[in-house]
Amino acid sequence: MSNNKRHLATMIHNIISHFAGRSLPSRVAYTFAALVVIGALDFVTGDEIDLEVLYLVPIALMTWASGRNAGLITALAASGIWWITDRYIGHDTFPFYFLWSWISIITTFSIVVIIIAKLKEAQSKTQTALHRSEGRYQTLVTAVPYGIYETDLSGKITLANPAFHRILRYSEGELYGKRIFDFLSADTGSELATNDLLHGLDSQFNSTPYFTKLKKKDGTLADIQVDWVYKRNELGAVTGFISVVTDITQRKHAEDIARRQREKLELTSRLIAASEIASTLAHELNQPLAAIANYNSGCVRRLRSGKWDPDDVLGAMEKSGAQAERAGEIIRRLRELVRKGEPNRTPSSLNDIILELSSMLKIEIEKEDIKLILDLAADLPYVLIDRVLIQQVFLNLLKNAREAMEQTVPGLRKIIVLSALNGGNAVEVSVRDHGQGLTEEVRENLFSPFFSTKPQGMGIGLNICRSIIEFHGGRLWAAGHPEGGSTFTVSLPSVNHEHASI
Amino acid sequence: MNMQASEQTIYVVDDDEAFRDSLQWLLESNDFQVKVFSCAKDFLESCSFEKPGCLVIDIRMPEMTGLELQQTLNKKGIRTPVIFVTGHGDIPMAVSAVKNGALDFIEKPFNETVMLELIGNALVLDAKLREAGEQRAAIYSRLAKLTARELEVMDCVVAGKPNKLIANQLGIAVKTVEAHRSKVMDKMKVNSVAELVQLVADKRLEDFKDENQL
Repeated sequence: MSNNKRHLATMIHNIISHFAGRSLPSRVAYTFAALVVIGALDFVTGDEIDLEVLYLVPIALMTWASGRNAGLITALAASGIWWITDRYIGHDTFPFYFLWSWISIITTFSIVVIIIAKLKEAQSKTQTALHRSEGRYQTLVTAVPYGIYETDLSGKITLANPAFHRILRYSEGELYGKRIFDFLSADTGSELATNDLLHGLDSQFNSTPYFTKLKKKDGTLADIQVDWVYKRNELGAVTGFISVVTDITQRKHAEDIARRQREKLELTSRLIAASEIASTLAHELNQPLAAIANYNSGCVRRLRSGKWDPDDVLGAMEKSGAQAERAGEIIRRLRELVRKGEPNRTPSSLNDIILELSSMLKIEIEKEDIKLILDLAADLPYVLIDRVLIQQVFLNLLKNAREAMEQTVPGLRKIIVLSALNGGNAVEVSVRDHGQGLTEEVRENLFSPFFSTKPQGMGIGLNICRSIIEFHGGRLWAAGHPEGGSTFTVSLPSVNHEHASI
Repeated sequence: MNMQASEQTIYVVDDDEAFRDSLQWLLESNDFQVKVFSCAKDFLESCSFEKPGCLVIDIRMPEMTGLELQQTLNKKGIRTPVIFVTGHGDIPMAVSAVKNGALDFIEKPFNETVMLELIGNALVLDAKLREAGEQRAAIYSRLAKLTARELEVMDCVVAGKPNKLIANQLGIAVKTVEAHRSKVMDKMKVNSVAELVQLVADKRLEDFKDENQL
C-alpha cells in the first residue's frame, strides 16, 4: 500500500519537475494545447458531463511553474475557452445566467491560482532556507578538523572534506571517485567493519562507531575511529554513508608507549620482589647449612686425628641434625607464605584459556610479524585448575616463544598452539615456536632456577611454570622440533580422571 | 701452623648461635683456641687484644654491623687481621670491608680448607704485625732516652750532614757534636750510621702507615 502511494507521489513529482524544467514559451504552448484539448472534450461530451474542473490541471501547473500572474492569465484563457465551447453547446440559455456561470468559474480558477501561488511561495522559501543550510553544511565540512566523507552504496567516495584528504596525505580532490574499501588495510577488523556496513543495509542496523586502519598515500597506515550514519534521499531510502573520521594514530601511539612502560614497570617490580625473596631465602638457609658443614668438618677432622671423645663428636652430630631440621623449617615457612594465596581451582576449559590469551596478545604478536596458529581439539574434557595461575604459565610460554624468534626471518615467525586429548585422562597443550631451538646444554638446565638464556633473564619463569603445573598434578616438558624451533608441552589431568583417582 | 696455634686465639663474632657454636667446634677440632661473641658490643667490652690471633666477623649483624665493628677497631689502632663472613653473597659490602683493611671475606657455607687457609694466613700476618709492633715499641723507648739536643743532632746525622755543618748549624763546637753523636749511637743501640738511618726510616714509615690507616 505504502509502496503504491510512494509510486503515485513519485509520478506526480516527476510530472511537475518535468514541466517546470521547460522554457516559458514551451510551457505556454503546452498549457494552451491542454486548454484546447479540454475545451474540445467538453464540446464533444456536451451538456451532460461538466468537464470544467479539468481546466484546473493546466492552470495549477502553470501557476506552480511560472507564478501567480501567469496563472491568472491561464485562468482567463481557460474561462475564455469555456465561454466559447459552452456558447456553442449552450443552446438558448438565459444570457444573464450564462454570464453568472462565467463569473463564478473565473472566480474559482483565480482562487485556485492564488492558493497555489501562495503554496509555491512557501515552498520556495523553504528551499532557500534549505540552500542556506546546505551552504552552512558545506562550510562546516570544509572547516572541521575531522575527516568527513560520503560514499554511495558501492563505496565510491562522493564527497571528502579537506581534513580527510589531509589524514590520508592526498591533495585535495584526489579522493573523489575512489572506492573507500581500497583504503582499508588487510586488517581483519576493517573487513568486519565492511561486512557490518553492507549487512546493515538489510536490517535497521544501528550505526556504531568502529576502529580501523586506512592506507595513506605513502603506504603507511593511519589509525582512525569512524562514526557514521546512513545517507538517505527525500523518500528515506538509503543511498550511501556519511562518515566522520578521527585520526587516532597519535593517541594510539601514546597509549602504546604508556602501556609498554606500565608492563615494564610491573615486570621490574615483580622481578625485584622475586629477587628479594630469593636473597632472603638464601641468607636464611645459609646459616644452618654453614653450621651443618662446620659440625661435619670438625667431626671428620677429629675422627681422622684419632684424638676424639665420643661424647663431643656425638654432641656435634646431634647439633648438626638439629640444624638440618632448622633448614627444613625455613622452607616450610616459605611454603606457607606462598600458599597464603590458596589457589582457587575450578573446572575449566584449557581451550578457553588459550583463546582468551590469543585475543589478548593478538595485536602484540602481529606487531612482531608473528603468525599465531591455534589448532584446538574440540570437546576436550575440563581440567581442575586455578585459571589465573595456568594463564600465567601459558602467558610465559607464549612470551618465551615470541622472544625465541627474535632472530627468525619475519616471514617464518610462527607459533603453533595445539591442544589434544592424551590417553583419555589428560589434556595436553603444546606451544611450538620457530626459533633457534634448544642446545643440549640449554635443555638440561632449562628448568633449573636462575638459569637463563636471555641477557635480562632472571631464570625464574620456567622454573615457576613447572612448579605451578606440578602443583596441579600435571607435567611440563620441552623438546626440540626436528624442523627447528622448540616445543613446550603442558599436560594436565582431566576432571573425570582426577575424580576417579580420588 | 700448629706451632702458633698454642698461643694464638681466634675471636669469632656472629649473631647466629648455631653458626658460632659450629665454627668453634670446627676450629677447636683443628687445635685452635677459640673465643666466641654474640655481638660486637660484647666483643669490644671483653676483649683486651693483647693476645695474638685473628678475628672472624659476620658482616651482617643487628645493632653494630661487622663493618662498623671494623671501623671502630681501625680507629682504636687495633690491627688484628679480620676475616669477614657473609651470609648471602653481599659483594659490595665485602668489597668495602676489604678496602677498609680486612684480610679477606668468605661466603657461608664455606669449605673447611679455604677457611683454615685464611685463618692460617691471618695468624701469620698477625705474628708479623706484632713483631713489627714490638720493634717499634723498642725504638720508641730508645728514642725517649735521647735529650733534645741529641735528637737535633740525630736528625742532622740521618739527613746525611757532616759534623762540621751540624756544628755550624746548631752553633756548637765540632767536638760537642761528636760527643752527642756517640751518645745517640749508644742510646739507640746501633753500630753504624746506616743502621741508625734504617731505624729512623722504619719508624717514619710506620708512623705514616698509622696516620693513613694503612
